Formats: sequence, C-alpha cells, structure tokens
Amino acid sequence: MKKSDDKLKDVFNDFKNGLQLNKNMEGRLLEMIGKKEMAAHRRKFLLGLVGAAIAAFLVISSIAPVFGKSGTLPQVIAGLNLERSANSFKGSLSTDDRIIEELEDQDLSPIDSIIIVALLKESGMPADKIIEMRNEKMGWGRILSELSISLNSIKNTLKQAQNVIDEEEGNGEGEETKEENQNQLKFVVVKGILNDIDGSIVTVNETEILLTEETIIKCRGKSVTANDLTIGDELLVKASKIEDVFEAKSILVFTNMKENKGTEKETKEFELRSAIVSFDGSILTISDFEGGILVDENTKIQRKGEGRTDIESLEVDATVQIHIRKDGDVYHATSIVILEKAENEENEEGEEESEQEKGNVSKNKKETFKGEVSVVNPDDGILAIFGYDMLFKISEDTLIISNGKAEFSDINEGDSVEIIGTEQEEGEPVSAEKITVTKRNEQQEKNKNKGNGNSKDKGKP
Amino acid sequence: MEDKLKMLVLQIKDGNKDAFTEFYRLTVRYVYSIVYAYLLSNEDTEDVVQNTYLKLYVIRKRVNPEKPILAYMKRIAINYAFKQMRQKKKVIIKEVSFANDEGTKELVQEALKKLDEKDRIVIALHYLGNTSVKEISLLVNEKEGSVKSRLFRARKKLKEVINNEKI
Repeated sequence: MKKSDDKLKDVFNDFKNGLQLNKNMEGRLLEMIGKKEMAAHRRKFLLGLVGAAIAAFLVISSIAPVFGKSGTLPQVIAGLNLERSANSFKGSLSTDDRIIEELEDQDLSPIDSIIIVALLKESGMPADKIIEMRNEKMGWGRILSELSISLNSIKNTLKQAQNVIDEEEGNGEGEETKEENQNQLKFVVVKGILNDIDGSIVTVNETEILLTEETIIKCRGKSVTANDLTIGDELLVKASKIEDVFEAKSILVFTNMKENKGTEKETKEFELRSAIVSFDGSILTISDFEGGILVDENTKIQRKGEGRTDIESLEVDATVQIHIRKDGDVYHATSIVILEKAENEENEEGEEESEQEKGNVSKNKKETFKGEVSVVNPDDGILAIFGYDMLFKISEDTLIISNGKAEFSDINEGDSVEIIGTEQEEGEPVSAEKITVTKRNEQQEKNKNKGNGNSKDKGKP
Repeated sequence: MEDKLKMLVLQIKDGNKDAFTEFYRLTVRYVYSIVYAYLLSNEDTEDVVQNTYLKLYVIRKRVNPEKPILAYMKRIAINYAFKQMRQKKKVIIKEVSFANDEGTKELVQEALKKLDEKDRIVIALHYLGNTSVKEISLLVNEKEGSVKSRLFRARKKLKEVINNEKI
C-alpha cells in the first residue's frame, strides 16, 4: 500500500516538474503590479487634491461671501441657527401696532416675523430696513452681521421673551413686574399650541386670546374660519393688548390637526371568542363586546369542521371566534368561525356533543379542548391537561398565543389552555394546531374580577 | 526553504519588488501545479496564478510572516480556482506540452480527467501541495472523513489507470 502511494507521489512529482510554465507570466504579473501601483498613486493624488480643495473652500468661504446674498459660511451657519431657534420659539414678543401692520403687509413667514420682532428689540433699526434686506433674499446670518448684532444676543432675546410669559402666567408672583410688563405690551406675537377653544376665546399655550370679526385666520395661504381650528394646532398669533385682553389680529396655522386626521385613517384589528347576543341580519352583538359589529357580504363565515356557511347560521347563543377590524368608528367583522352551536341545536345532537366534551373525539376531526395544564414536557413537545386522557403533541407549526405570539416554553403547569387540534390514530397524541394560553395569575385575576362583578372593562378589546 | 520564504515575505511587506520576483520564481511551480491539476487548462491556470500573486502583492502589508506563506498562497489560489471553475462551468482541457517523459504526464492528465472536480482538488492538494487531510478539509470546506473517502476513491481510480498502462 505504502509502496503504491509512494509510486503515485513520484508520478505526481514528475507531473509537477514536467509542467512547462509560460515564461511571459512573470513579465505580465510585474506589469500588472506596476499598473496597480500607478493607479493607487493617482488615486492618492486625486484624494489629496479634493481634500485641499475642500480646505481651501472652507478657508475662503469663512472670509468671502461665497454663498452670494447668504454671505460667508459662518454667516450661513448663524442664519440656520437663528431660524432653528425662531422655529422652536413658543412665547410672546412685544412690539407696536405699526410694525405688526407692516409685517402683515409683507406677508412674511412666521419664522421671519419672529426674527424681525426680536431684531427690532435688539437693534433699534427701523423695521422697514430689516424687511427690505430680507426681501432682497439676504440670509439672516448676513443681516445679523450688517446690523452688528451677535447671534447669541438674539437667541437670548427670544429666550427672555419666553421666560417673561412663563413668569406672567406662572404662580401670580411679581405682580408689580407683571403690571409693568402689561403697560409695555401693546402688540404681541404668540407662537404655540392651541390648547382650548371656548366660543370666541382661544388659548394658545397658556395665553387667552379673543377672536374678533376682524381676525384673519390663514392656513397654508388659504383663509379659514375659527371653526376650522382644532385643539393641538400649532399657531402663530399676532395680537394687540387692550387693557388685560389680547385681541387677535391675525392667526397663522402651521399644523392643522383636522387635516392630519383626515389623512390618517384609524385601523385596528383584534380577535375575540364570545357568544352571540343578537343578530339582525347586519349588526351582530356579542357578550364580551360593547357595541354592534357590522356583518356584510365581505364577512367570511365558517362553521368549525364544516367549512364555509351562510349568514343564517349566526344564531343567538352560538359561540363564535370573530375577527374584527375597526375602520374609523365602524367595527367590521372580517371573519366569523362558529365554534359551538346554539343550545336548541345542541339538544338535537344530544349525546354525541356531550361525549365530545368528555374527550371522546372523533378521529381526524378538529376539536377544541379546554383545561388546566397538568404536564408539560418541552423535550418531547408533549402537553397534558386535566380532564382528558390523551396527550397533545406540539410541533413547529403549532400557533401558541399568550398575550400575543408565544413559545412552547412559555406554557407552565397550572396555566389554562384552549387547544384546537386533530386526533390522530388511536393512542397517538392529538396534533395541536393552536393553543391559547391564559397564565395562572391572569386566570386568578379574571376570576377575582368576575367575583367582584367588575365589568368596567367589559367589551374593550 | 521556509526560512528563505519568510525572509522574502518580510522584504515584500516593505515593497521590495526584487524580493517579490524571487518569491514568485521559488513558488510559482508549486501553486501552478495544484491549480492546473484542478482546472486542467493552461489558460485558466495562468489567470488564477496571476491573480493569486497580484492579490498577495496588494495585501502584502497585512500578511503575517510568522504564518506559513505557502498555506496562505494555497488558500488564495484555491478560492480563485473555485471562482474560475464556477464561471467556466465546464473543464476545458487543452494540449499541454511536456519537457520530458511525455507518456507519464499525459497519463496523469488522463487520470485526473476521470475524477470529479472535488476529488481532483483533494488529490492535487495531497500529492502536489503536500497538504494534510485536516488542512484540505479546511481549504475545500468538507469534513475530514469526506476528504479521506475522496482520497481513497480518487487514489483507487488513479491506480487503475496507471496500472493499466503499466508504469
């Protein structure tokens, strides 16, 4: 054996030594390596060039107005920063009626309005000059630079304006300051969330504002009425203060909850097992659910073990497994499985039914088994429940539900289960298709509630 | 030989092209024979060998000189050879010219043709690459037992061919 293997080795050795290699291979390889190195050098050079160009651009942009009317890079950054602060601002800024009118005439955006009012407080510059600069498409960073105002001072102004309102509407402390502020406040810009609507009074953040016949309300450029306002809307209100009352001159609606609701259709789905209380041909009521459930031609109705059936099969007292979808305010039954027949039908079938309840199920027919788990053997995938003399086999296909999808390992002895399964050959375990588990503590809680007659949550899915 | 290769690898890591050429000359026949025994095509083998050395040059800085470089070369070459085989989907066997003892080489080539792809790479690594069963199993991603049975089966077939020709 060894000898013949050595012989093979010799043969292969001869084979290796006999191979005639292409002499050009070495030259070609070195040429390719040369090309690769050249490409790598070129790539490094280009990357360096791009890096240098970016660095040069950053240096130049910090001193020269490379962004046109938006100014230099630091000015662009300052402008964006200021716009962000104005956008998140929720409070009141005081100014006089002439400026409010001017802002309204220009039809400026809410953010621009807030920044202009804040700038006026800081700079003392005429409003028309600032508006003119803005209309020339100058960036806010550049405008700040032209007015020699620092970004921080404007941000502080916005912050203080918010604090003043907070204090005023706080615990009623500092009455003298409040009065002083009230004397100063003539016209204010309030930005915030609509918290309440009471007739002609709207509450934005904590500020109550009176709507008058002259109040202009706009949403996305279109005129709307007070009826279109919804609690939760984000508003910018320009108001005048007469004595203690804020009178809204104009309201801009940023986010309209009503519109949003219109696009978001509320849809929920859930499944229940319950007994039919009444059915009038289209509306079904069941014992564990408040309100009617719509049954129509789209509802799939089945009788367990028999397949599809018609609407006539829905009888009072029958136990059903029902899948409900909530479309807006309507509960719609998408599928109904009749599990147990109504009492009168049950009597007709007599012994057969009662025998099934005892566990003497007919072969290869789907059945439901209910009871407390007596044995769990996860190694063999076997389960036993009190009251039945057969075992239940759990496979990968078995659907286990316990407050959502669960695993076999979640089932413990003492838990209540409802098993839907098919009996196999005699002596073979029942093949479980679906197991609904009620944990022992949940069951106890349920029983306790039943005992107390607590039916507060009854019918809530 | 191992020490010499280790020294050359250290020089290649520093970008020494002469060392790379010397390394190539010392090892190319070894790599070529393994790949050729598998692909049985000069053209394909040349492509694979070229790519193997090119790859080594590209990743030279990451190569650990303390580890056997030939094992590393075998790994790269086999990966490229498998890729080449997948692309071709068929074995193109071309005429090979031999320096001497034409009969024996043709016979080996004929014998190799009779083996399936996996058996061929196992035989090539074992007899041409002096590779252990354990290492072959890692290189071809098969269990040691499977490699052993492939070796046994292939060896039997090769012997049959060789004995019939009475070498």
